[in-house]
Amino acid sequence: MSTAVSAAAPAVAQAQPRYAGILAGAWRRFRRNKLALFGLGYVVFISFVAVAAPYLTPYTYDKINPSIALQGPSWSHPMGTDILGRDMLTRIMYAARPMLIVGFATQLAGLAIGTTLGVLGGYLGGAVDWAVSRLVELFSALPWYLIVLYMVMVLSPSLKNLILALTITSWVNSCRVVRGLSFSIRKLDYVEAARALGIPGWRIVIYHVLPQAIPLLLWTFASGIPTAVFAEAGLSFLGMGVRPPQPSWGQMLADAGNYWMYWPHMFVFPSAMITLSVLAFQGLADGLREAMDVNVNI
Amino acid sequence: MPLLQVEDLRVHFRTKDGLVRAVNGVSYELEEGDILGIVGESGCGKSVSALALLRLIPEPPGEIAGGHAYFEGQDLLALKRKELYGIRGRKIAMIFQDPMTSLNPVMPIGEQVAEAIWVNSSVSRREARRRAIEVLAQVGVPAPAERYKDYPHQFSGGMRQRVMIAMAISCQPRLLIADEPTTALDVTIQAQIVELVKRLQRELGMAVIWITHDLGLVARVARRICVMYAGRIVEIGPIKEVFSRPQHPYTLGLLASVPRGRTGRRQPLRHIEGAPPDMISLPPGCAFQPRCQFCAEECLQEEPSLVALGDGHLAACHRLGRLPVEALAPKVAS
Amino acid sequence: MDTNGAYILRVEDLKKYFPLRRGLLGRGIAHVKAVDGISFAVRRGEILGWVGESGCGKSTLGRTVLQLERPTSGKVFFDGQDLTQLGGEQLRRLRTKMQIIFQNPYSSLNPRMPIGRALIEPMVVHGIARGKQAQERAIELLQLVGLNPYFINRFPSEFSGGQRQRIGIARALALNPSFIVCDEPISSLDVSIQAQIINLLQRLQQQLGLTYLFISHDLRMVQHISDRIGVMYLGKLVEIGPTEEMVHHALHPYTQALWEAVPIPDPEVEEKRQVAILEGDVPTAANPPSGCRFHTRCPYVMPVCREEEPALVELAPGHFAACHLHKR
Repeated sequence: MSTAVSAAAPAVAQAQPRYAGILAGAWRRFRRNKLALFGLGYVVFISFVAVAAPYLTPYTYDKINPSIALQGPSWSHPMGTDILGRDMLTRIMYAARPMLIVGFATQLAGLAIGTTLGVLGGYLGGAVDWAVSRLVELFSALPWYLIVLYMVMVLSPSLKNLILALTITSWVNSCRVVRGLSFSIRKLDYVEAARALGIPGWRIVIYHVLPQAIPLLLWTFASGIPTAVFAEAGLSFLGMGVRPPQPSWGQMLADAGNYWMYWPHMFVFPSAMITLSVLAFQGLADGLREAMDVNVNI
Repeated sequence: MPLLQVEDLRVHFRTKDGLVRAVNGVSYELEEGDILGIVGESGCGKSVSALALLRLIPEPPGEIAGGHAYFEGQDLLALKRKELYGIRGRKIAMIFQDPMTSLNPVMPIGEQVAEAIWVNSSVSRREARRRAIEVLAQVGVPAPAERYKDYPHQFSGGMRQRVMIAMAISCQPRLLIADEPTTALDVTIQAQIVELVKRLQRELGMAVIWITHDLGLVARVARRICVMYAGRIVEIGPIKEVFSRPQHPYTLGLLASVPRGRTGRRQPLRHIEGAPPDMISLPPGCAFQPRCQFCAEECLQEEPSLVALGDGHLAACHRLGRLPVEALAPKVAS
Repeated sequence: MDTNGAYILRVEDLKKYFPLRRGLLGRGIAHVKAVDGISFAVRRGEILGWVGESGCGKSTLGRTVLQLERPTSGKVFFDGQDLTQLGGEQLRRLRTKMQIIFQNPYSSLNPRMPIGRALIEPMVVHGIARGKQAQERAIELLQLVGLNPYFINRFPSEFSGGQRQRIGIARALALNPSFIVCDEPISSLDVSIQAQIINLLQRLQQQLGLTYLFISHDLRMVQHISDRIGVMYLGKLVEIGPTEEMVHHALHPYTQALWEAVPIPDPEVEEKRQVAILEGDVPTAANPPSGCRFHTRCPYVMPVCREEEPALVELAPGHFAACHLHKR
């Protein structure tokens, strides 16, 4: 960069910012992780399937046809049919919807709450930080699965209430991450410089503190999804999540309950989907962390 | 025969952005008991060139790409790792900038010194302990017998550096390599350490390579000076000769940019324009050429090599003898 | 003392203590007295050099003067106004007049903000300029500090250390301040770059009529750039006076020792020089010695030094020292 001081370059103030270089580096590191690549591919694929499900299958998820009940995989029903004669593949495809909705919605809501609380605690410090830290400790210590169960029971089982209940705990991780980061960034010279320049606190947080947290937040976001996926499957399995006839993988597993010894396809496909999804999001999260690591330490 | 003879030393680092020629053909000699100061800016290869002598370069990404370093007639760079252990610490010792990271935080300092003695010479544990206390006293650690069991964190930065020096000299090395040992210390402590090393040098008759970026310090410590820029030696010679008659424009610029008190406040310092080059894509010809105010056509074409100017003074510049050196020579402080 | 005219800044008995957290409840029992009762004044348009060894509290002093750290006690008059009495919003508006330049050019710039935006942001916030006008002013600022405005949209990571320091200086100038705290502005730069930055700071000071509090541990540079020099030891101001006096007629043994310790970049001089070396280590600020804090290392220590803390007294016109050797 010794050229920067030379007066030879044209004095046009329009050289483009180089986001490209930063992104290229991140992508190169991401690409090295095979599981992350698989995760990314899977997430793109399953999102497409969830959105386009009605166009991908000739069947509907709730059409009951007892005459073809409990068939094994065949050309017309690649994953077979369930006890009511509904096409398993169609139901698997539609069930991606609640999985993604619960996963993303709980994480988004958690991110919003966690980031706000985390920044407040980490940046302001003092009594606010003390309160936020105790809150984080309290919620980390709670038996969250029981609380979620209880809440859904009280509120009546539905997708909305499931999301609400899961959000109660999903903010803890992002809060912890953002708090720690804000705490260290607050001490950096450029934040002090911004204060010395009389830049208001809210602006410092938005423009100088939070941008540094984006990579870590992306990672917490992605790594929180598997928990949500599990929770959704588990609660639906218990009949506390997605209401029939809307399909969910957990609920389909529950349906397989008494029949899986004789008709294993009812058990194999939903459980495979749950496993795959958890694995994929976890891989994606790990890949993101590796890809972003460098930028976090700038 | 000189104690150390470095010939065309080359050290490369393979980075993801390209090949860094950190040391790019460095040759010098060091006599017994001499003190050579190596000066240069960060990234000029001054530390790497010294670390390479003991093969302390992390490989990969680093690699010694060529050259010889004859120490007491043996080529250090051709030795097997095992043979090198007989030299490291026994005949050539090193001290570093940050004594905290060079000391084991969970081992009492006395034991660390005793271990250095025990490992490098065939003495009993008890004898090693006795000698450790002796050496600690020699480097000015107060009450060494009582402080033997203290841990590094109980010592100040200056005291830790003394402990490092104690470990380094415990086996009476022939050569001490000091890699910016006082950079992290305060001026008054720096002065203590400098005096200590100078005294030990006289007492033990060892040679010293003192790496620094501080021209004042090198003037206080060294008998000969070696100025490095972008992986090469640009000027080397007896310290007084180089300070009073610098020949390379970079040396000139460095010396002129040091405040000398009497220049008068409203007068700006002479400074070198620009910044050190990117080591991955060095400029063609002389590496200093983009910053040199005397740059000519030939400087863009070819890398200059060191030319002897008499009295062991060498400089690498195409325009030697044609520079208005007198006009630029720094005025000595009064 | 004249509060309106000659002095831009007047500091009175400034103290900044940091609690050392101990015990289960994190109650502060002990304090690190980083700045412990310092008074001085800065003349309009002068460069006041401020030296001391690491941990002596000189950086804390700079930050406390600017109210980036709120002082434990004491007063700071800036243009006659006591900053310590101001609330956050009043202080925020006053920030246009006083700025700071940091030591580390790598941590003092937001890595995710293009340099142009870093210059424009404060102007917009304070309503000094916006839009195209702000952009033009940012370009002017870059030119003023010797950078090519072509790179206005680049990120800090694309610049060298010296260039980043120039950006930091441009940012400090963005609001047209009259007073700047330079907190070790050259300490982390390469030798050949240090002189560039010193020359730049000096040129800007003359061109824009700025006042600097120039904090550094590099005594030669401080001597070169300063009109007056203050010397700090363990939270106390031990001597302050005009540069020539401080260099050639230093009164405090610590100041004398500092000058002894600094090597002179001339081997002929160094060879003949008999350096009187100060023994011992700097005590910790958490537990400073009684009486005169320098007494543990002072070559001229007397019984009174262990008992009684010497006051800062004027021993020559404008030359103050705190030492029992020099009683009036």
